[in-house]
Amino acid sequence: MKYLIHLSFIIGMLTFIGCKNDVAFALLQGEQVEYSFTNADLSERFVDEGLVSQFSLISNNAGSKAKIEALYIGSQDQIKTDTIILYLHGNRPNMNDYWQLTVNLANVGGQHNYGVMMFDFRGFGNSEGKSESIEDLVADSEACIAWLKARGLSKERLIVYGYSLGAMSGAHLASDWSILEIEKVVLDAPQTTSTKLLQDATGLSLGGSAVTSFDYNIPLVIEDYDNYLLWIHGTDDKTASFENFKYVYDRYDNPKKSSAELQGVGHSTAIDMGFPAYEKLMLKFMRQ
Amino acid sequence: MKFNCISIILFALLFCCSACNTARVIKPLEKGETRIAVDLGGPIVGFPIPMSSISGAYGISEKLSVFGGFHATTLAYQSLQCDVGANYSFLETRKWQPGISGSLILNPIIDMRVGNSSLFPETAFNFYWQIRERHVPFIGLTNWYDVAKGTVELEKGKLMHPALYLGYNYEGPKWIFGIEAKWLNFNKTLMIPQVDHTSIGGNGATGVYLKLAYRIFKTE
Repeated sequence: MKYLIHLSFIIGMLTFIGCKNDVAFALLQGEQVEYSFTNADLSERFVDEGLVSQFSLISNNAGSKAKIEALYIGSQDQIKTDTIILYLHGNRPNMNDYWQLTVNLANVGGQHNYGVMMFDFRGFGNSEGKSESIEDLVADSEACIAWLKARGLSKERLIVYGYSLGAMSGAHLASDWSILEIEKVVLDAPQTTSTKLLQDATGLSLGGSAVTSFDYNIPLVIEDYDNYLLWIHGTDDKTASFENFKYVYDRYDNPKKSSAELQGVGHSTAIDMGFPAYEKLMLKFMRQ
Repeated sequence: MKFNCISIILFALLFCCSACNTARVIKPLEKGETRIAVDLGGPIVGFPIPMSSISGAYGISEKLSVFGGFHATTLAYQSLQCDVGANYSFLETRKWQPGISGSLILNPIIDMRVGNSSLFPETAFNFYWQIRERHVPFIGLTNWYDVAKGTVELEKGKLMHPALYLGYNYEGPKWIFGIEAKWLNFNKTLMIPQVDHTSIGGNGATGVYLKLAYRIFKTE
């Protein structure tokens, strides 16, 4: 009997210790890294390394400040005239994992055809602080937009591109911007809502708050967005359900919406669809 | 997506709310018997997810037992999940004829972050054999009923959330050890980011659970 009491006590203690657990800990935690953004780290499509700059800037979410690490691909002198893509990355640990993807974007339509900015959300890579809410992610994105605006970017030359976790932030940012209006947004393979995350796992009518404080709701927020939106999703995505995307997209009333439904493609859409098809898709969206 | 052990466990624990323990009572308890048990185990994601619960049961008569449990894992996510129920013996086992019992259970879940609460009624039917007094193999079918299925997002709610199970209990005079394999939610496809859980034909999730129970008998 005493063994059972001991075992119950251990379980109780583990519960107590872990009682602040949150599924979002798995989603919102990066890893520190030595950044490396060189051609040697690329397998295809390259950059003029003189046009790659890495720097820090300060993000402020209602008084919660964090120094975040950012990357700009292109000439900073031409931000006042270039079309710029702000890339919001997914939940891999840091920017290194997205280096090739952002170089691909910079080279859509020709080498260094677009300026591309990327950053590590707070808590990812070497960015300080901790991401705990969608507001943290949006604040970090807006810090980058403020940096670009200060160098001459205007709203008609800004495209926000969110991939996976970044698309959650991108959708919220597009519908509730504070620095520059978002006229074009790309949502690449996002999960739709935090509640759906739990409901897809259990099938039960439980709210996302049963397991996480990280509350995001793409179908709700894009109701307020009526500019250009491109939603990219693979039919074989095992991370963010294609069925959920179809449900939300088909009911989204916006004449400026478009989608790329990629047959046989999983969560790594931009890689799996191949660069020629990706380039064609992006050019069509960005030039409209 | 990151793909480390902690991420897998955290995400896989999303399974935690549905039928994630061994069957509380398979064979009715003896009249006056009290049983305290600890359960450990869960869906397999390369290894069984270590979900845990603590339960107690009491034999009211030779045919009727009542029981209740508390889920430590869901509490670790700031959700209070309990179960209370009763088990009734319809038919006793004789030689190779299985004993048949059924349970009616209520599963309340209270989301302590925002105060939402849900209640999932559950029914279970067990078929068991008793071999040489100590050995109790069993099979069973349980079903959670989601009466609020209309509130599931994107109109994907379902009333029925069944699970099949197959297990074995060693029932000693004081201790019971049990192992149980479960096929959860076999009528639907479950999806968790970056977690490859085992399923059968792509449906539901399979899990392995262990039980350790201590029996206390009234002394006259």
